[in-house]
Amino acid sequence: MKKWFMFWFHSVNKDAFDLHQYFHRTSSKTKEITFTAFLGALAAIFQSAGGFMPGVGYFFSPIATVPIVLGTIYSIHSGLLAYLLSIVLLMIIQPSEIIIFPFTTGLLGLGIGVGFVYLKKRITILALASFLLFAGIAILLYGFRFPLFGPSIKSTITIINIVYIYLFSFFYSWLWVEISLIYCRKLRIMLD
Amino acid sequence: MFEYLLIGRYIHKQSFVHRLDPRTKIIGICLFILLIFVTNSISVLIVQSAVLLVLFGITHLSFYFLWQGLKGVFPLITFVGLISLVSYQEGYLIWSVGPIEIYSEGIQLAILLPARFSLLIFSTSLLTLTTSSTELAFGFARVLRPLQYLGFPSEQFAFMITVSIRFIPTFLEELDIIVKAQTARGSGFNQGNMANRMKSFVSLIVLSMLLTLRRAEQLALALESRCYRGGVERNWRMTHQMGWRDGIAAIAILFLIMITIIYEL
Repeated sequence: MKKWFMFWFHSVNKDAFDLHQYFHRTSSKTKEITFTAFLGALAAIFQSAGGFMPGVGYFFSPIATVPIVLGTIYSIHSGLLAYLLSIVLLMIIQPSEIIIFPFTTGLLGLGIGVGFVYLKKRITILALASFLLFAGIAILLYGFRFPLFGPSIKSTITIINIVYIYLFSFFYSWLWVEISLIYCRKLRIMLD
Repeated sequence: MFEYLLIGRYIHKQSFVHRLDPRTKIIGICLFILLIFVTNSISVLIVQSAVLLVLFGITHLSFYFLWQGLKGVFPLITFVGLISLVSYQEGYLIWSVGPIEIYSEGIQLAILLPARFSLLIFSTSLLTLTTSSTELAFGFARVLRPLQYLGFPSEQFAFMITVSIRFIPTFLEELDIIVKAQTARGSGFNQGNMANRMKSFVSLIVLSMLLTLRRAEQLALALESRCYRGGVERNWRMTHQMGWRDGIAAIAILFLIMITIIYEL
């Protein structure tokens, strides 16, 4: 029981915080601009992979979260700029993804990044990320009436649908928090 | 693997739309997209489509480019339409076979959603086919300029657009090399169990981020050695002036806004 409790309430942002410190130690205004520009480009490339590589490309699309997470770890300002830049670039290279990216992968990236910088515990990071993803999905599903989950979840608002969407958001965010922890650790080791 | 991505789709012509100020085109397309998503009437969507087709007609560009933009996502759009048709159960029942029931609202949504998607792709294609990347960066810098008072770095943002557009082909090449190298070592991005796939993706993520960081450092060093200072307002080699064409475009957009308001109210 204590192990389970520790898993959720243990501080997990050490590697992300070290990366944040590394960026600030070695940063300059020009480097921040070029790094943000490159992260925005990478996010747009990954997100649009589904459109220009039908099939395998859809496996690359979720990775668009990563550059936004890293940009936000660099600084919240960079993360937001990388997010906006990716939206503009998607408008140029793959307009069909403009609807999906700002409300799902991009928003999740911002949530995880902000969580890593300002919150420490796994559960709080996850709560923020899953809430943002849930809000994004709800806007797509109920605002734009976009059938994001196919016929399984309909565009009518019911308590059970909301619970399903939140559970999905929670598990998806958890997966990405764990992946982010792994690559932050690897990246920090490589940069040291 | 990544060679199918279309970047820099700008096609130089001397048409009415090409000669419009980039600011007019950006604001016009953003308003047009907003109108597409606000409207719930099929007749308004038909008017919007007609306006877009007329605009595309006067660009002297082949309609093949419109299809090229839509081709990649056509299966997805069709799928979205079909899902909407069978899953949206409001209005009155029109047809039912076994568990499949088709309602009047479902039919409307099955037309509206794919039409919105297609118009979104056509309108952004119109912008990118008639505006070069330099003009786009200039347009965004000027359109976002009022946000400077709220602390938004519009000049920096325009510079970022230019840099990222320039480096997209380079990143594609590098990603292609990483993916091929990982595949040669036995990593499968679309095969094997979940754990193996995750390992492949984590390697791809770490390597691509490391390359990005190094390249950003190199470019920052090159820029600083040429006396570039980030955050300082730059001047542009080519500036644009609004003219009578922009006035006509503004009137057309106002006409569309009025039609949408009249139909939706």
